[in-house]
Amino acid sequence: MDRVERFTNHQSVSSQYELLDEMMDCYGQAIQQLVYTYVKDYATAEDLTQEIFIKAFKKLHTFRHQASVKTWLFRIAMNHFKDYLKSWHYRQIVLDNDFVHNTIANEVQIEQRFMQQSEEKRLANAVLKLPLAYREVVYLYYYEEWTTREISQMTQKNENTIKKRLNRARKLIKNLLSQEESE
Amino acid sequence: MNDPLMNVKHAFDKTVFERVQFTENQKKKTLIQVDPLKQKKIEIMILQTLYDSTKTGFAILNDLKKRIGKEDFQNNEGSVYILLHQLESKRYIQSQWEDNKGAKIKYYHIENKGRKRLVEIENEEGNKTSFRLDWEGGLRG
Repeated sequence: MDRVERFTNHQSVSSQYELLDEMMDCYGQAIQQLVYTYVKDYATAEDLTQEIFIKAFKKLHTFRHQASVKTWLFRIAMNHFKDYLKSWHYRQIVLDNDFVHNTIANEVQIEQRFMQQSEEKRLANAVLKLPLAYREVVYLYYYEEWTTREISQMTQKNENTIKKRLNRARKLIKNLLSQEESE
Repeated sequence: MNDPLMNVKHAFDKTVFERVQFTENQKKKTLIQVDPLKQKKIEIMILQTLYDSTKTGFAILNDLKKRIGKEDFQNNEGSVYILLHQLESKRYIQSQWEDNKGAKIKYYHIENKGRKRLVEIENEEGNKTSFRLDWEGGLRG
């Protein structure tokens, strides 16, 4: 991490290029995982991750040392995902898929599939089923282990909003998991 | 009250994330797309290969593969088409759809502006220092 941060002091193109290389070594995996929790599709997550690092490269001059490289990259990733949601591709293809997934018949199917799954799989799937705003906060808090304060800075939302979302997410998950048990 | 989300990290690592893998190959593809020296080299080569003949995108790509090495373009052919598009929008090259036994094929040819550009960068490249400075200045601006 320090290595990467030291690098940002260099301005020449070749050292920026090396910096990108370093950033991908350190955070490529973390970014791709985050993006996966957004898009829930392996191939799309790969494409978006590459685009995010290219964006980061072009924005290197905006990096300020108040934030860690990781926080900075996560913010770029979140913004890039928002742009992706607005894109033509997403509207044409993914929304159609979502629509299909949201029909009741499908919900039942998914829940039935949960029955035979391990506890880990049930929990992961339940989290992935949360609406985006809750899923994101849950991921940043429980997986990346950021504090509610850090998450509030990163997402530029009030810390109380973050706490409320976490509470609500816990309730939603409890319901989801107990529904399956009672079936 | 126990927290139902306590094991999220473990649950993700054990399941969905087993297939999420940021690979060396992805890293390479990303690096190629931001390497200004390499992009410039490819730009020169495209202009050179079109200097005295009209070619399809596929033929251009094959020519580049021969000269630079296949691995740079493996699964990354798209980046060449992006570059072709950029050169076209700068009016260095032009493209035209032609009929080939019922199938439409796009052919590229060089424009005068592209020929001038090629001479210009070949001269620049003769003088390595100014070539680099030009790029670094260009990127910052």
